Amino acid sequence: MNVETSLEYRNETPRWLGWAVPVLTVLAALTVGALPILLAQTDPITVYLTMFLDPLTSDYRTGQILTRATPLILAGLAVYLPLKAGLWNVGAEGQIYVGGIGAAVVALTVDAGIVVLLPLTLLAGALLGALWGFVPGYLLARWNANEIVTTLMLVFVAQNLNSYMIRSVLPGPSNYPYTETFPDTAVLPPLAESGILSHVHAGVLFVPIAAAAVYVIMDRTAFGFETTVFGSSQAAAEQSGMSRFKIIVVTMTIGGLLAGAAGVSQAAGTGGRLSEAISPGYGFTAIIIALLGRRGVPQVLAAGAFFALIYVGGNAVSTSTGLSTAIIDVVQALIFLFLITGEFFKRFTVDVRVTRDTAEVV
Amino acid sequence: MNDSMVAAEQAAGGADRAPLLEMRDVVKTFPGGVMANDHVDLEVRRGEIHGILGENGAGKSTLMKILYGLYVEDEGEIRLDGERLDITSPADALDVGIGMVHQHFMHVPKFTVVENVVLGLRESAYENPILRFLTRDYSAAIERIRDLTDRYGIDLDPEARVHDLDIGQKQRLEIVKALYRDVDLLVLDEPTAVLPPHETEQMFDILTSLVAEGDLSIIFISHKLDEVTEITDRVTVLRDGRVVDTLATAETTRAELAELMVGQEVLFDVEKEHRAPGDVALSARGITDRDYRGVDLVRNVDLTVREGEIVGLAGVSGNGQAALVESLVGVSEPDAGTISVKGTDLTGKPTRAFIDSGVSYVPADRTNEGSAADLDLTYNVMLKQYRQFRDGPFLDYDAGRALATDLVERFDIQVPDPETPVKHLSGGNLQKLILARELSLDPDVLVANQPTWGLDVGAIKYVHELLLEERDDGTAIFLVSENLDEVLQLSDRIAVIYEGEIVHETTASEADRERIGRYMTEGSNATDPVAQERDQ
Amino acid sequence: MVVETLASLLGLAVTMGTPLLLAGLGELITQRSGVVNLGIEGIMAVGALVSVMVTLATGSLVVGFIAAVVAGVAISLIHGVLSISLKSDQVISGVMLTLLGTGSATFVGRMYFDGSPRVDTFSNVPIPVLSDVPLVGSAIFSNTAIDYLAFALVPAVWYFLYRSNLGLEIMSVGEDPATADSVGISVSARRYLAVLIGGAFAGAAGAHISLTVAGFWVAASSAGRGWIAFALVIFAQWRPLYILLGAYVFGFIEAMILDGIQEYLTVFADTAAWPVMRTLSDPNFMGMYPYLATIVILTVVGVRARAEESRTAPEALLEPYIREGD
Repeated sequence: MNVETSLEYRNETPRWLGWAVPVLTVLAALTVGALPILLAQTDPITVYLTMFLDPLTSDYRTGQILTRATPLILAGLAVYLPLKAGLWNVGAEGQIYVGGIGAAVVALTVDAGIVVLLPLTLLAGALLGALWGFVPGYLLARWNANEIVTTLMLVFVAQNLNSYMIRSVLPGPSNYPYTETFPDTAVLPPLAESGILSHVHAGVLFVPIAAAAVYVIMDRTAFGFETTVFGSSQAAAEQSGMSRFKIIVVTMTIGGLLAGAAGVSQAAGTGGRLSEAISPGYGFTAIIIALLGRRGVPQVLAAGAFFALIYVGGNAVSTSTGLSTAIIDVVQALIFLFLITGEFFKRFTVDVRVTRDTAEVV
Repeated sequence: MNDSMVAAEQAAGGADRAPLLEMRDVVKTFPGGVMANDHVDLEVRRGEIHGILGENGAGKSTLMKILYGLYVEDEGEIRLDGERLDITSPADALDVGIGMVHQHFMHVPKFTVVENVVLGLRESAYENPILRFLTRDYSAAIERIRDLTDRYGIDLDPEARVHDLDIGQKQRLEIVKALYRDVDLLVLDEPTAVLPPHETEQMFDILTSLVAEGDLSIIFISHKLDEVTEITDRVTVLRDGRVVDTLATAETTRAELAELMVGQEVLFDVEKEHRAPGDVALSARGITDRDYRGVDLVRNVDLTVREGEIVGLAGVSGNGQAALVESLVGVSEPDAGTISVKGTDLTGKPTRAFIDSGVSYVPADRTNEGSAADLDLTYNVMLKQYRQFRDGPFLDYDAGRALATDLVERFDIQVPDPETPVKHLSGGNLQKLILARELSLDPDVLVANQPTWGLDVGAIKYVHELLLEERDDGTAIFLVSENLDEVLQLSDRIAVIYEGEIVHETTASEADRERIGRYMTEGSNATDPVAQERDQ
Repeated sequence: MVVETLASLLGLAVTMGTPLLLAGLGELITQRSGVVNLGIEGIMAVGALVSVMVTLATGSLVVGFIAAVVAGVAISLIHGVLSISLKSDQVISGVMLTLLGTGSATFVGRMYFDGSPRVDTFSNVPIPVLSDVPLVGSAIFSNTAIDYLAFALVPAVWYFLYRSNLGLEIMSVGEDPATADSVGISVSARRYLAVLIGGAFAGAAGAHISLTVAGFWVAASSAGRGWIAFALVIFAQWRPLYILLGAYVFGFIEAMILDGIQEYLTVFADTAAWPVMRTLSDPNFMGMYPYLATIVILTVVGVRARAEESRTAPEALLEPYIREGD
């Protein structure tokens, strides 16, 4: 008896699969995620309800969603843009760190009024993030150095650099893993005195700006056109006179800049100082966000908001049930896992046949 | 060969010229409706060198891939020594004694010759399968390889690393791989396509030796007439997926074979006005281009195309057309030579400069180069003229969509809906789209490479009419095609390319179909008096 | 004093280098078959946890170690299925695996243990004669069984790749899978094997972290070493011997970081070069070196490869294999 599995490329992805996959992905992930929760002798339903509904019940928590959505969406856009050109920016995490470093350096060393200092702080972080995107982009465009490896390596360079800055260059109160607090003139203030918005700092304003910018770039400019074509076929792009070098370098640099802005938002907003824990893996979550939101900016926004909900909900779960916050990572990873599996079914039809042995070749 | 096959042969009386291989009524159709093999019959006898002759797209490659297990036939059967075969993988083919020397070599450059030859055989000092996996001993293999190479006059060092070998040696590696596995039938797919002329003679000596000393039978696939007539005993000619004829090589002439291969049919009559061509629009001098190995792809080519004329380049695919064409449109820079468009020297300038100077390009590869296959109609229409729709840094997509609608109507392009990725368009419609796009740029020079390849008759007719219209409008057109009829019908002047050189030039009125066919398949030997005599 | 410092550094280098060596050798085999497994960090985290859990449950260090190896195989199987059978993007699959591995390990560990569980560690076994070498002997040549195992694996892996038929087939599948397929080698079977071996080694690396010097488990104990191991494979240009060298060099850097080499250099505090020296020997600053080195190597090799046309990376790396005609 033979079991034959044959794979065939689908000619067309049925429409329903297009949106069914993300939805089914999440459902499957939650189902499997229930297992470790059960193992911890906790009720999964309670956990999921807490995770998804609880954050919406208090001003503080809802504010937290917006706060966390900021770096998630920005980093998501940072991966999304190069992805449109067919490139992998796996280093958004490092670009976030570096954005924070840039902001901290300016905030803690330059003496000026808020009108000058705050924009300068933001600029410094964004530029350093841009550099962190530029280098891998240049190395790829010029010397064909694989951008997955280079962006990834720079993540750990950035993390170490961050620790170095905190411990040795801009130390805070003795031996704590963060710098001094930024002066008021370099901090992103809360948006309002009370209500939900009092728990949200001005960094959230980056999101609509960045989202609009990325949307305009990709959907309205000539450069966005070139990037889309390049992402579909490098040969067609080059034969149409487009510059491979320009497209690679610019998309990677803007990507870095966006993630750098996320870092600035973390440092100058939440906490108002540079910390070693500036990002709990937002840059990696950004990869999932960019994949879920691959079709367009609104989808990236939705995916980013969704994961922000998971992060805040996860913390709520941790507080109320005592489960480790690592549950967030587990759920994310499972969503990721099922997303990949779902992608497979979109691309191929699987045919499993069981046959009997036919006469063999003599 | 295993025991039962030997038994079968003995039972059959061991006839010397009995067919070794029979392929009967083989049919293979690809998605899209193209019938690559249309009820093909092939018979190869023991101890002969059997040639399979045909142009690209004639179905030779497909037939051999079926034999070798890379494709599975839709209909038909394959018999070896009378026994029916069921080959579903290359390993199956090897098991029954069929070895293939691929046109694009199958080897691992980082490994040595012996490692490549014994790959998969698990040569070892042990019998036990697990131990065979965990150890290796190639000393016996090396001996055997030396033995084989000595016997057949093959020059190859078993311990050399393959990426250090030259191309002739790499090919010999492929042969040795097959010999080592004791094949009875060796299939060579365009073996001389990559060889410089002097190496070809060496290869032929080896082949003759293999048949004489080694009791092998050989299938020799080629589109080169002079080689087929030199080395084969019999030859089967394929055209458009069907067998045209099978002949004994000694009983035919090159002229006859050329005719069979290239065909006499005239698709349709196209009205062509006689026009006086205008100024020189495209001028190329001394174009030479080499690949990364240093092998000449294009050698010292001179070309001129004037306004309002069509210059057609005839030649079998793979003789340097792609490299030449890419140089002419600025997609790649030639190693030597100059290119001028309307009097301006554009050598070495970026592709953009060529486009801006009015050069339009229709590449042979529609889906990977000519279009962005995953994107929709509008994106593809705007591929080159998007710069015209710029409004500052922004792009007027509405204007783009308007152009797309306009082109769809004017050129009658069938699209299910404007949002579908163009990879779902039929070949004909995709080509119309590409042409429409290129022509809407109002080019001064149009370079088209195999523009009607794979299209149905209606689409072909449409493309031809389009090209003639452009010519009448004053555009200078450079048409590259391996379809000789097409070239003859459309061109005002004709050139023939063979192994990277222009070997013949003539005008439409003086063109001799048969002669051109010979140049296409033999190169400059076509006028070789000795060769001509041989044909009398 | 200098010699003692050096000796202790070297000894520490070996200990820090072993997990890198193990994971690096494993990833080497995986990548040689054409598959990139970015999930090493996750597998190591799981290995670190499982080794402690099982050691405490069974009372045997050896069983704990083996359990970690088995866990490594199991987790890498996920990556195998995703990238080989389902033809998914290997980058995505690997990053996901790291997230899953580290997340699960932290989650289960925190749930299972209160605080940081302690285990007895593998004891150091001195090598006769060599460990009697004055001053440096006891530091370098007296290590745990796992360290010796790792070291012994280097020639074993070398032999496996370059002197066995299976090794040849695994490498062929990473260089030119179409060729391998054409001679009857199952591309997916070889790749699965390579991925699972890689997973086993990574699990072992995780066990080493918990069961040797540390003697306890804590969340994030793998601390980025999985990423260094990945960098190591590229740094070593896919050669077992260079992995050995690189592992101990990177291990030495880690040792310098842990030992606080900056203190020893304070003798130079009054010289003009001090500010530079101080920065270069800062523990966090030094943490960047392995990664920067990898970027440099990758770029330089890329430049040379274009010119020489003999690239060191397996040709089919990162590409899922689909047979033509399928």
